[in-house]
Amino acid sequence: MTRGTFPGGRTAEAAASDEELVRRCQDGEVAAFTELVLRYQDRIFNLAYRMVCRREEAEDIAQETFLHAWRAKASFRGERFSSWIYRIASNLCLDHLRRSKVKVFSLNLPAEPDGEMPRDVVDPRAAPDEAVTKAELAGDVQQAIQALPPKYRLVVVLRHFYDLSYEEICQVSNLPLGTVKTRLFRARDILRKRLRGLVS
Amino acid sequence: MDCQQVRDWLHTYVDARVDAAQEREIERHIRACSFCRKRLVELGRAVNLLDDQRLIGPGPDFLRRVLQSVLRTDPAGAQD
Repeated sequence: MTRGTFPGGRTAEAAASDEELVRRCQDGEVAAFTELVLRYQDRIFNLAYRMVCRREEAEDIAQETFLHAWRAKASFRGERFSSWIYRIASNLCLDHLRRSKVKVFSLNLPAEPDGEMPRDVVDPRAAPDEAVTKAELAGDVQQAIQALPPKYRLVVVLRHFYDLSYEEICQVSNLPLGTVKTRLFRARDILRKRLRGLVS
Repeated sequence: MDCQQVRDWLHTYVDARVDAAQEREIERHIRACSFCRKRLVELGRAVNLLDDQRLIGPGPDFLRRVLQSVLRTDPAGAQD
């Protein structure tokens, strides 16, 4: 479905704030919800993808996030919509990783960055020579993120893919500031070592 | 200020979360300590790599799937 073909158009919705759209969702307006999905689908999918590293699972988690948001819409009040929906997505990702057997690979940090890990990232060996560096770099970074324990991975993703401040990460993750900082700093020290030697 | 103290400050430094006095102190330490200087360069590079990652979107069918799941559970699209 393309954006242009969705019934009702987006003109009225596109001008509304996120919070105004949520109020309209609370009145049962699907058009307002549709606009929120369009606004946030890339960000929510990307958060899930960075956390679980598989496109299909990431799409399922993103879909589940919006469904959960719709069902829980009555409970939304008085905070930024982005923090609220990131929190839902973050919790679903962590739940998923807890249940998933894949966590074995995430929790045991391999000593070498080329340790075997199931992943769905660009294979640099398949890329043509000119594109190798960029694809390789993206693959290495994704692999390094994937090797972090999930609770570390989450704060890194929120900080660097969403540019959230420490305080916003606290809101999304429901963690105290000290914990957020500890996890972020430890995670980045791990990444610093793993990404050492890569050209940026 | 020793290297152990500087360690956490380097993170707040790359996040631009230090005040002017801390900034001066960190920079003074960095000038004198090659170990922490190297650490800061590596950290800055890692942070740049993270910040440069492309945003990836879901497939074209995503919105349809979400709306279908919402309408399936809440056919009236309302009354919550």
